[in-house]
Amino acid sequence: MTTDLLDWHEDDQTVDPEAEYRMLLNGLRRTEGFGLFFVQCSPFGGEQIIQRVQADLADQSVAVLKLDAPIEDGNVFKRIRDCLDTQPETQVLFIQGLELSLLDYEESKKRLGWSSEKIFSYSWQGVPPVLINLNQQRERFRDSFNIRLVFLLPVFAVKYLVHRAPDFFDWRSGIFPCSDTDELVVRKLVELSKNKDYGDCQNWPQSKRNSEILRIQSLIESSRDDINKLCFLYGTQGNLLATSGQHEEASERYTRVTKLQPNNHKAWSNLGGSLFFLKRLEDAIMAFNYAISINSDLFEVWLLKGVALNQLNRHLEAAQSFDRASQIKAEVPEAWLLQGDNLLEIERYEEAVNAYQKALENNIKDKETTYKVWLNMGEALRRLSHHERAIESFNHALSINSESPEALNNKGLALVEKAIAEATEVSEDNFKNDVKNGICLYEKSLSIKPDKHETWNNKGIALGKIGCIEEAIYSFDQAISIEPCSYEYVYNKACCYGSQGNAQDAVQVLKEAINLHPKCREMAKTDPDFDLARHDPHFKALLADQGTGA
Amino acid sequence: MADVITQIYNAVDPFRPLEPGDPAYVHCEAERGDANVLLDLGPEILRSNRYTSQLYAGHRGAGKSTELLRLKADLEAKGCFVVYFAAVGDDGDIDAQDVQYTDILLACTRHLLEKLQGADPAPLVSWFKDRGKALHELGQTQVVMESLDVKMLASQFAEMTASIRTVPSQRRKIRDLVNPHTVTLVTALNQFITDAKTKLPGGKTQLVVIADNLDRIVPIHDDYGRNSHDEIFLDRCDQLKGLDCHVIYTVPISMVYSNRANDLKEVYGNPELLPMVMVQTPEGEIHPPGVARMQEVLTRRIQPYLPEVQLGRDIFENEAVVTQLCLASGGHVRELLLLMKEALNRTESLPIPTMAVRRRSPPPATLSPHSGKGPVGGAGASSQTRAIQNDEPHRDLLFRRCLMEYRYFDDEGTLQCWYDAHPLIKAIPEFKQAVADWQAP
Repeated sequence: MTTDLLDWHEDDQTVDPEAEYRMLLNGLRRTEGFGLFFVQCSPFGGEQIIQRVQADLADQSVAVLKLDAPIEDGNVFKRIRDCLDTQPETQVLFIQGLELSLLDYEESKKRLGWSSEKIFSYSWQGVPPVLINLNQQRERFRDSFNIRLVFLLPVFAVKYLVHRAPDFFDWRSGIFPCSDTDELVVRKLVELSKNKDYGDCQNWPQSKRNSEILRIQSLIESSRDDINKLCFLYGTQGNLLATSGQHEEASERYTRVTKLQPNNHKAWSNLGGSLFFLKRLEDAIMAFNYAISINSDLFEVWLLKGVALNQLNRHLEAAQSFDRASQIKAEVPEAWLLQGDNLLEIERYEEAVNAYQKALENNIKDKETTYKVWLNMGEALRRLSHHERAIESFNHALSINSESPEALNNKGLALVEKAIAEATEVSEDNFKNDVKNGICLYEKSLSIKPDKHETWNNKGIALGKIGCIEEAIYSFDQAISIEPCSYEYVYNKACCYGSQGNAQDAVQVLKEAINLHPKCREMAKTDPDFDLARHDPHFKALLADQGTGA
Repeated sequence: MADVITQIYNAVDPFRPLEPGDPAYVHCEAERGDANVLLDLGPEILRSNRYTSQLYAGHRGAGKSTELLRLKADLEAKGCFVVYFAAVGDDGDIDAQDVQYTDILLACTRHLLEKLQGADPAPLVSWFKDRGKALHELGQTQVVMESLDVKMLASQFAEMTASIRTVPSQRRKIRDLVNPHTVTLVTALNQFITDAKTKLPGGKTQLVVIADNLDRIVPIHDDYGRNSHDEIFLDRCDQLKGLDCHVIYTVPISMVYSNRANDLKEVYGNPELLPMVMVQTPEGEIHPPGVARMQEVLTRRIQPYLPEVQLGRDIFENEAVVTQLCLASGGHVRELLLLMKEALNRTESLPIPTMAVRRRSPPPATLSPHSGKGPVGGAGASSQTRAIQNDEPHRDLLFRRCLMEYRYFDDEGTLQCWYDAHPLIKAIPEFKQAVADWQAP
C-alpha cells in the first residue's frame, strides 16, 4: 500500500458530499473560539447546508447573515459585527451572498467564463473592496469575533478570494466543496423553466437580476452534459445579462447557444441584438442573417437588420429589409417611420411619403414618434415640391412641438420655395409678403437655436430674393462665422455683391469660395447674379484662371 | 471535558503567532539556513551608534510574526523599549487598498502615543491641532482636538485614521491635508521620541519600533507603471527612516525580488528573509533534520494533552505517514497545521486513518488554469532548475506561495538559496504536464 501522499489520485479526489458535510460538522463542533470555514456550493445547496447544520448542531446557536445586495463600501467586517450585535449569543454565523459584491468586477467575469480573456494574476488593479477588507482586517476578525464564521460561496468566488484575499483565506480551518445533488438540480431547473416572472425583469433591481444570474450559473455548472438544458440556461442568463446592459457578456452566452444549437434562431437573433448594442454592426447583421435563414418570418430581426444596414449607409439593402419587415407586420408605426427615414436618405421621396402615411394610419402611441413622422414627411413632400402638403405636415409637427427649430426652418423653406414657384402668378407685393412669412419662421427658429447655420443661410437666400441684399450679406456672414468651411455660404455671399454690381467685393469673396471648392468657378460662369460684374477685368481673370492662384 | 481530538484540533490553530517563551515553539534555524531573527536583526540594533532601519521578509505563514515577537522579548531583556504593532488591519488602522507612506507614519504615531505615555506630547499636540483644525473646517471631523491629554489625542487620532479607512472620498481629503505635512510630522514625532527616550520605563535606553504586516500591502500600479510598494519603501524612505529610533518593517517577499531590490539594499541593507524549513534537499532527497523539526512542531502542540505522544503511533498510523505529511507541507508551518486540521476533520477517533490524510482538499486553485508558458509552466520550470527568473510572474508565484524559498549552508559554509514549487502543486496533473513540456527538447 503506497502512502505517497504527494501523489494525486483520481479516485481520491471524487468529492463525496456526505463526507464533506461531516467534515464541516466536525470542524464546527470541535472549534473553540474563532474559526473560519469556506463552503463551496451553489445558492441552493447553501440553503440545505444551513438547515442541516442548524438541525445537527442543536446545542449551538446558529445565525445567518444573508447579503442580498453588494456591500457598497466593501466593509464586510462592519456588516458582520452589526449582525452579531443584534444576535449576541450566536456561535456559528453563516454568511451568504458575498459573491454579489464581486459580480461587477472584470476578474469575476473571466472566472465565470463570461469573457474570452484570460486571467493574469499579478495585476492588483480593480480588486473588489470586500476582498481587500477581508484581507487587511483579518486580525480584527480573529480578535473581535470569537465564533465560527462560515462563508457560503460559489466556485468562482472562492477562487477569487483565494487569489485576492490570500492572507484571510490562509487562516481557514477548512474548505468544503459541496455540490448539489442531481435531484436538487433537476428540481431547480423545473422551477426555472416554469418561471413566467422573467418578462418583468426589466423592472427588477439590479441586485435581484444578479442573484438570479448567479443561481442560473450554478445550474449551468451542474448541467454540463445536457445540451438542451445548457442552452436554455445560457439563453436565460443571456437575457438577464442583456437586460442589465451587459451586452458583452450576454453575447458570449448567446454565442455558446449558437455553437451548441446552430438552428436556434432565437439565439441568433438575440446575439444579433447584443452585437447591435455593442455597435458591432456587421457582426450583428451576420447573426440576423443566420436567424432569418432559419425562420424568415421574424419581424424584429428584419427591422433591426434594416436599422443596422442604414447605420452602415447601405441604404438599398436597408430598404429591402424594411420591406420584408412590413410584409410580416404592417401595423407597427415605428417600423414605417424607420423605413420612411431610410428612403428619405436615398432620395426616394414618393415612397418615403407613402411609408410615413402608413405610419400615420396605424395607432401611434407616443407624441415623439408622431412628431417625427409629420416632420420627415413634410421634408419629403417639400423635396417633391408639393408645397401645400409639406406646409400642412409641418404645421402638424409644430402643433406637437411648437418650438422645434427643425420644423420652423423647414416650414420656412417650404413657404419660400412655394412663393418662388408661384412668383409669376402673383403681384410683387404678394410675393414679397409670402417670402417674408418664411423669413419670420427662420427668425423664430434662430431665436430658439441661434447656431443653426443652415437657417442663417436660408434666411440670406430669402432676403436676397426680395432684394434685401445688405441684410442677406449679414445673414450669410452669420452662417460663415458658425461654419467657415461651407463653400455654399461664401458663394452665396459673393452672389449678393454680384447682384449689387459690386464687382470688387464679389471677386474677393468669390475667390474665397473657389478656394473652398473649385466648382464655384463653374457655377459663377452661368449664374445670373454675377451678370452685372462680368465686364470687370478681375472677374474675367478669376473665371478664366485655371488654378494658377493669381 | 473536551475529548482529545477536540483539544488537539484547537491546539493546531493556524492563526495565532506564538507568544515568546511558548513551549510549543520549535527552533528551526538550522533548517532555515540559520535564519535567526535574534542574531540577524537584534545585534544590529544593540551595537549600532546610529538609528537603524531594517526590513524583514518571508512567505505568508512562515512564522514572521512569531519571530518578531521573540525578537521583541529578547530586545526587551537587553534594555530596549519595543513598540510592536500590526500596521495593517489591526483595530482600525490601515486597510485602504492604496496604502501610502502617510498611513504608515500615522499608524506609527498613534501607537507610539499609546505606548509612550510618559513623554511630553507637546510637539505632536500642536501638529494634530493644526491638522485637526483644517480637517474640522473641511467638515471632515466632528472632533475638535482641544485636549492636551495624550490619551485623548491618541484616540482622536485613531478616529481620524479609522475614517481614512472607510470612505475613499474622505481618504483622499485627509491625505491631501496630511501629505504635505509629513515632514513636519516626522519632526514633531522625533521631538516626541527624543523626550520619550529620557523617560523610558524600567530604565531602558533604546527605543525600537516594529511595524508588522506591511507585507500585506497590495501592490498597486499607477498609470505610470510605478508601484505602491516602491513608493512606500523606496521613494519615501527618508520618511520611514527618518524616525529617531530603530525601526523594523516587514516587507512583501515579492519586493525583495523585484527590479528595485538593489535600491532596497542600498537604503536598508540586506533584508532579512525567513525561508521555509528545508524538508527536502535540492536533489530531491528527504532532509531528515527538517522533517524532524516539522514533527516537533506537531508534537509540542499535542504534548499538553497527550504527554507521552508519539506521532507515528498515537496520532497517525505509522511513521511513514508522518514523514509524508511533513513533506507535503513543504516546510511551511501553517500549511502543516492546516493539513493536520483537515485530517482531523475526517477522523472520528485516533489514530487518524491514512485515508483521511490522503483525501485532502485540492489545493484551492492556487494556480490559474494555464499551462505551458503560464504560471504552471513557470512553477514547473523552477521546480526543475531550482531557480527562479526575476520577473513579474515568478514574483507573483512567490507571493502566492506556489514557489517557495529554502536556504542552507553547503559544505564550504556558503549560504545557498534555492526554490521549488509547492509540493501539493507538484502532484496535480497540469503541473506534471508542464514539467514534461518543459523537459521536452
